[in-house]
Amino acid sequence: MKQPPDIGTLELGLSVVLVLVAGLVSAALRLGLLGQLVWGTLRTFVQLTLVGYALTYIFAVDHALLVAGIVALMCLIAAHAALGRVQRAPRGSFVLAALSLGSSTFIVAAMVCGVVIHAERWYSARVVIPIAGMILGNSLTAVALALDRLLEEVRGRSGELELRLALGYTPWEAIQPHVRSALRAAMTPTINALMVVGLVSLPGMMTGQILAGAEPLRAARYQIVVMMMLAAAVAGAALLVIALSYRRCFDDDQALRRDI
Amino acid sequence: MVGRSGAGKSTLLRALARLTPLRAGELRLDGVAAREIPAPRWRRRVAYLAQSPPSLPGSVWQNLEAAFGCQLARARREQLDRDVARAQAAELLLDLDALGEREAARLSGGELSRLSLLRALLIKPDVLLADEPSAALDAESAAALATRLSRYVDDGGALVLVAHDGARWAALAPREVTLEEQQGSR
Repeated sequence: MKQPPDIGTLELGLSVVLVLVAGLVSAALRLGLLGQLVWGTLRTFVQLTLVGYALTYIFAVDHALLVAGIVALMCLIAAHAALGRVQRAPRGSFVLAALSLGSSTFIVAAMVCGVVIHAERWYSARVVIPIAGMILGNSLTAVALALDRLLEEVRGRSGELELRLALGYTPWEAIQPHVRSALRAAMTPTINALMVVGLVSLPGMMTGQILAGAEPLRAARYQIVVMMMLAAAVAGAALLVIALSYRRCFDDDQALRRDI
Repeated sequence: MVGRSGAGKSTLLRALARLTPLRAGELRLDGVAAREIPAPRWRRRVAYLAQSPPSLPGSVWQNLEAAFGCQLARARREQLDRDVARAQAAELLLDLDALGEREAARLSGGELSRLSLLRALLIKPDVLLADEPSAALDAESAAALATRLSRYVDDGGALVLVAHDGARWAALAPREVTLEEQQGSR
């Protein structure tokens, strides 16, 4: 496989010209986005360069414990990012979100790395970190959507929920319609992605492989595995976070909490 | 149960249904402490009717079937008997042949509160907690509701009513409790 062409410092500098165009538009139309655009550009350079250095180091060391530590850290960051998108998340949600993201990522990533890809060393950093990253990036959106929808429904339709409790439903039975609605909200973006993948744009990984010189069919096979993996991980993470969190909407006597 | 607005009548009623935690005191049902009875079982025996009860998504029939949708009802093989429901609805001046397939959300407030009472009674609770049950009703439906409630009491049911106007229910509920507002008593 031939190496993709290198991007030199000069070419990298040239790419900034592209942002300048956006900056000019912002200034001309007084969008007030110039500051954010500069800050965003700066962050992109710094963050990705640091990640590049970090990955170089991690790939060189390539120790299973180090890989596990990095993935755990990624899960914590993903949980934090997910809760940032949830309106008034109840206390303790961070642990539950991290737990759901962590376990679904572990199960799906282990299956993909070990069984499907047949990586020689399935725990090697070069395999695990990109895979875990793709899973977490998608599952964190699903976790955020699921929790946000669940809480929104519980808060907005508390009368209905309490009516079911009053009829002798357990909290899990009473919250079922809202759980279904939350899971639907969480799964919809992934299902939509399954529908249009490849038609409008090529997914990032497939693009990368093709630019790196891989056969398109080979890249497509990888991408199919990735899509299946993401669907499984998204469903798993959303289901887990709801199963772990719904109890927080109820008190010790299985009544709906008013302060949720 | 009478008392001024804000005295805590509704809160106490909800607490009896174990939908709101008690700050102090203890609940017993036939001498058995509440903690000995799982909340869903308790609530099936102690039915609670909110003042303006919400509707569940779906038709009127589906709203009635919801009374038997939980594990507790399935385990006891309880299910909706449409003929019984029709007959009992008629007593409350509800025509299920006309209303049955209609979206419950489109019922009037008065129809919905009678439908809710009907659903609660179909479960055959030992205790019925009703918060201002005739608030949304015209005189005729209110009279029908009072008749139905008195039959429930005659059949051995226990009834706790919250009302602004205690005298109106005197025949049905001979014992009147007045709740007085007290700082921190709720």
